[in-house]
Amino acid sequence: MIEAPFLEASLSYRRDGFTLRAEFTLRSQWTVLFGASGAGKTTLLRILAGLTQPDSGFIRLSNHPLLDTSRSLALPPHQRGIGFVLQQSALFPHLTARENIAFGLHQWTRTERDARIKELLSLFEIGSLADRKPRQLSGGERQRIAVAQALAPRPKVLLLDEPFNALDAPSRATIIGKLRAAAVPVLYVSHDLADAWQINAHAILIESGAILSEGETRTILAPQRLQILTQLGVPLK
Amino acid sequence: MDLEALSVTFRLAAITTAILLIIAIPLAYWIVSTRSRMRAIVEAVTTLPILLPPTVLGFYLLVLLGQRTAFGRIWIHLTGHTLAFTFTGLVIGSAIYSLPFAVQPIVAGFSSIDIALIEQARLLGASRWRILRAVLIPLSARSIAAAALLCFTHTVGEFGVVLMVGGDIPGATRTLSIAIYDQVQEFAYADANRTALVLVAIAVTALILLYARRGAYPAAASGARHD
Repeated sequence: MIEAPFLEASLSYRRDGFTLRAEFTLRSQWTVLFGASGAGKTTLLRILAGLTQPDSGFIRLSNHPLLDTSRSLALPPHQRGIGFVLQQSALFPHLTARENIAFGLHQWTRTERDARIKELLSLFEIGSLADRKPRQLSGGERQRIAVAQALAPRPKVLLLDEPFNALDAPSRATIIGKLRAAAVPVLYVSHDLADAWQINAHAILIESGAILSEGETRTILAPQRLQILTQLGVPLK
Repeated sequence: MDLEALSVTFRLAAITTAILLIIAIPLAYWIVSTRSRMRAIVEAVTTLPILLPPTVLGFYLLVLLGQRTAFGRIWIHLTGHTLAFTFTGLVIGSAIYSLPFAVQPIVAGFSSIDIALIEQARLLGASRWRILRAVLIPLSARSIAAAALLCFTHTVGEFGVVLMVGGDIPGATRTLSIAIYDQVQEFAYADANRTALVLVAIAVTALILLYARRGAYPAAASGARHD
C-alpha cells in the first residue's frame, strides 16, 4: 500500500451542459473509479492525462505540478509520466506488437529498450506474439500488448479506462494479476459493479460529474451488494 | 510521336509531383491539426485551382512571374531572365494548378485516422514531427499514393496553364497536350491521334491503379458479391 498521496487533484470542467467537479487524492496502489456510463469517468481520466483541458484546477503527481490553471501551467501529455489504456486498445495497426511496445521508448538506448521490451513480453507472456500485427491478435492479446505499451516508459501512474470490458473473466484476472506484479499505481475505471467489487481496492464513486464518496471498495459499493451478488451468480439466501 | 514533348511532359509531371508531395504532406497535417481560423482560408486557396478556368490561373501566374511584380523582378535580378516561358516557370505553374489534387486526398487520409492513435502517440512522448512520420504517413500511404498518381496524371494532361505560362517552346515547355494542339493546327490528325492515345493510356492506367489500390467496397467485403 502507498501511504503518502501520490496524486492530488481538484478539477472543474464544463462543456455542452455537462459539469465535472472533482477533488480527490490517490494513496492506494489500486484505485477504482466507479460510476455509471456518462458519470464523467473518461473525462476525468482524459484531464489527468492532459488530453482534455479543464476550466480550472490543479493536478499534482508525487508533489510535482502537472496542471495549475491559476499559474497557467499545463504540462503536455508526454511530460506527465502518466500511462493510459483506453477501452478499445489504440495499438498502431502498421506496427508489430514489439514495435508497439517500443513506441514510447524511442529516446532510450537500444540496449535499454531491448531489455525493457523483453521484460514486458515476459511479464505479460506475449513473447510468441511479438512479431504479429494487431489485426492478427485476439481482443485479449491486444489488450495485454496495450497495457505493456503504456507501461513501457515506466509511468508514475497508469490510467485504465475500462480496457478489459470485452474480455472474459479469466483473461481479465490474468491481466490484472500481471499489472499488480508490475507494482505501478493504477487508477482503474469501471461501470461494472462486479468488476469493481472483485478488484478490492480503494474506490471513488462518481455520479453526474461529482464525487459522491471514497473508501474501500466493499464499503463504498455495499449499498449495491445484492445487485453485485446477483451479477456474480452467487446464490442468495 | 513528338519524343521531346513526351520527355518534357514526364519530367514536368515527375518534378511537379515530387514538389507537391513535399508541400502537401505538412500542409495537410497543419489543416487537420489546427484550430486556427486561417484553416478555412488556406483550404479555400488550395482548392481554388479546381474551380478557376486554367486560363485565368495561367494569366495571373504569367503576371506573377513577369516583370510587373516584385517576385518577378527579384527573380530576373537574381537569375538574369524571366520565369515566364521557361521550364522552371512551368513547374511553378503546374505545382499551383495541381495543388488541390495533392492536398485533398492527403487531408482525407489524415483525417480518417482514429484520433485515439494520435492521442496514444502523444501520451507515449511523440513530437508533432514523429506523429507525422511514424503514424500519419504510414497509415495514409494509400492516400499519399493516390495524391501522387492524381498529381502526375493531372500534370501530364494540363493544357491551359501550360500554354499561358510556358508557351510552346520545343524541348523546353512544349508538352504532349500542346503538341496535340499544334498537330491539329497543322491538320496532322494521324499524329494528333497517336499523341492523344498516349495521354488516354496514361489516364486510364492511372485510374485503374487508383481504383485497384482502393480494395473491395464494404458491401463486397461483407458477402453481397455478384461475381
